[in-house]
Amino acid sequence: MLFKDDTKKSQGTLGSHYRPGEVIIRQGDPPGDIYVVLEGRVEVMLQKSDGSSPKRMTILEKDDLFGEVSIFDHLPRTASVYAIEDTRVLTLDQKGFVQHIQEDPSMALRLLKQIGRRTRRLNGELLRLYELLDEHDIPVPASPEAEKDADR
Amino acid sequence: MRLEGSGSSLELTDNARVAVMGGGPAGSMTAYFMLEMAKQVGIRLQIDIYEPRSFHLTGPRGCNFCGGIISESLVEMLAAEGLQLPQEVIIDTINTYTLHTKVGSVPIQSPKDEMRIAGIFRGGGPKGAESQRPLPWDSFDWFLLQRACAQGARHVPHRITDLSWSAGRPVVTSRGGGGGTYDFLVAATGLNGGSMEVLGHLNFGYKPPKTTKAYVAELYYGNEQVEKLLGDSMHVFLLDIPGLKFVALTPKRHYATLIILGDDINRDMIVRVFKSPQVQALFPLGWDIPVHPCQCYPHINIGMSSGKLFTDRVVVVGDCGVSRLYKDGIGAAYRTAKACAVTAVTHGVSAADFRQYYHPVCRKMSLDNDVGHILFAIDGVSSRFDFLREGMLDTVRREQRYPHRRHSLSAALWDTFTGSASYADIFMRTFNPLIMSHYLWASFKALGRRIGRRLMLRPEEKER
Repeated sequence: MLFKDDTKKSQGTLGSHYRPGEVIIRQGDPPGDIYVVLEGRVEVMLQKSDGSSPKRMTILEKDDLFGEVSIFDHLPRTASVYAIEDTRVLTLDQKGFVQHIQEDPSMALRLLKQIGRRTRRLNGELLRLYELLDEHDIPVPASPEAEKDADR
Repeated sequence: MRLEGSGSSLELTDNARVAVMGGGPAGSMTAYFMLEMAKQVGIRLQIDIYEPRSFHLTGPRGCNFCGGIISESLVEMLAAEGLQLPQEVIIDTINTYTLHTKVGSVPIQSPKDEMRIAGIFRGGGPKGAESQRPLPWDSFDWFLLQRACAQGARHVPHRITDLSWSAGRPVVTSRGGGGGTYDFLVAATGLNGGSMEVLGHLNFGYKPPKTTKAYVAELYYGNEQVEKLLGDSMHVFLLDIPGLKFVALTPKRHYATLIILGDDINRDMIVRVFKSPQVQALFPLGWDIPVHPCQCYPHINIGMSSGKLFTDRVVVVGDCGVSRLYKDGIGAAYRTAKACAVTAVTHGVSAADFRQYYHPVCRKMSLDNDVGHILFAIDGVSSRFDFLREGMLDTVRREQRYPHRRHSLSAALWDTFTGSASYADIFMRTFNPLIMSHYLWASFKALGRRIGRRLMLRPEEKER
C-alpha cells in the first residue's frame, strides 16, 4: 500500500505530493515505474532480511531519478524510498520510458550518468569500509556473488 | 579536434560556429541538446540563437501563437532529460479530460492519478495581463532560451534578414548585429513569424509545409470561475459542425485557453462554437461572445513539407518542417530538435548524415499523421450518428470505474487528446476487437433506446 496523499494535489504543480515519512517505493514490491524528484528530498532505505532496523543508503534531491534499476533487471524493488520532507515526484511510465529509450537511445545517457555517479560513490564507501575493517584487523568477508564467481 | 569514426564528410570540429534561426522551443532545444552532447564528446561549439522577439511582452508581440499545453509524454521526457519545468512557468496543471458531445459529457481520469499535463504561456501572457506587472508567471519560450544560454549558447536579439552561401557555408545577415559565416545553420523559424521566406534564399529545395488556420483565444474568467467551471480538467468538445475537428477549453489559473481546430476556421465557425450549448455551459453566466479577447489565427502544420528539410550544413527543425497533427506541437519540436542535435554532434552535418539519422524521425512523424487523418475522418463520420456518440460515452463511463487499464477506449481517447501516444498506437488499440465489441454493443443499446423512445412518442411530438 502506498500512503500517497491525493488530497494535496494543488493547482499549478506537477506530479504527486508526499508528506514527510510517506513511502513512495517499498522494498520487495514488484518492479514498476521510475520516479523523478521534482521538489523536496527522499531517502533510500535498505532493510536486511533479519528484520534489523533499515539503513539509510542515500538521500536524493531535486532532479534525481530513482526506481530505475527495475528497468534493467525486472526484479522486485531493491530498497524502500521515503519522503524526508514535503516532496513532489513525477512518475515516468515504465513502458513509455523504455519506448522513449528505444526511439532515442541518447535519453539513456542521463540514466547512465546517474548510475555511474552512484557507482563511484559506492566504490568510495566500500573503500572506506575496507580501511575500517583493516584498522580493526577484521577479515573482509566474501560476498555471495564473489563466492559464486570463484566457484565458476 | 575531429570526431573520429563517424564517416561523415562534414563534421563539427572544436569551436565550430552554429547559427540557430529562431529561439522558440525547436531552436532553443536544438541548441541546448547540441551543447550538452558536445560536452559529452569533448568539443566546444559556438552557438548563436537569433531571436528578435521579447518573450516577456504580453499579447502577440511576445507570443509564438500556440495553445500552450505540455503533453504528458513531453513532461516525462523533459523531466528525464533534466529539463524540469520551474514552478513559475507552469500556469496550471491538468489531471482530467472531460469529453463533451451533444449527447452528453464524460470525464476521463489520468491513468496515473497525478498531475501530468502542464498549461503554459509561450510568451508573457495574454494581452491585458500587463496591468498585473510584475507578471506572476514566466514565459515557457524564455525559460528554454535561458536554459540554452546557460549551456553556453548566445542569444542574438535580432532578426535574420538574409541567408546566402559562401564557399559552401551558410552566411547569415542580420540587421541589428551579429551575422557572418557559419559551419552549420539550424532553421527553426516556426510558421507564424514570417521568416520562412528568408530560408528560401538558400535555394536548397525547401518548401513550407501544408498548413491550416487554427483559432486560439485567452479568455479571462478569474481564478474563482476557472476553478468552479473548469476545475483541473481540460474540456474537449466533439461538436457536429462541418469542418470542425475539435474544440478544447483549458484552465490556466485566471484564464481559459480556447483552441478551435478544423479545416478553414472562419468567423462563422467560431460563432457557432461560442454559441453551442456545450461550450456555453462552461462560460461564466451571461457570457455570449467575448468582444476583444487576446486571440489569434495561427497557422498550424498539417503535413510535412514536400521539399527538402536539409542540405549540407543546413537543417530545418520544428513546425516549419514537420509536426504532430492537431496536438503536441511542442513535443514534436522536442523530437526533431533532439534528432537534429544527435545527428549533427555525433554523426555530422552533411545531407547524407541528415538523410540517414534525422529524416527517419521526420518521416515516422509524418506517416503517423497520415494515420491521424484517418482517425479524424472516422470520427467525422461517427459524429453524424448520435447513437454512436452515446455508445462511446457509455463505454467510457463504464471503463472509468477502472481508470488505470491501458487497453480501453478511455485510455485511447486520453492518449488522443494528451498526445501521449502515436496515432498508430491509438488506432491499433481503438480497433482492438474487445474494445470495439464493447463500443458497438453500447452503441447498439443506445440505438435501441432511441428507437424505443421514438416509438413511444405521440405523432405530433414526432413531427417536432
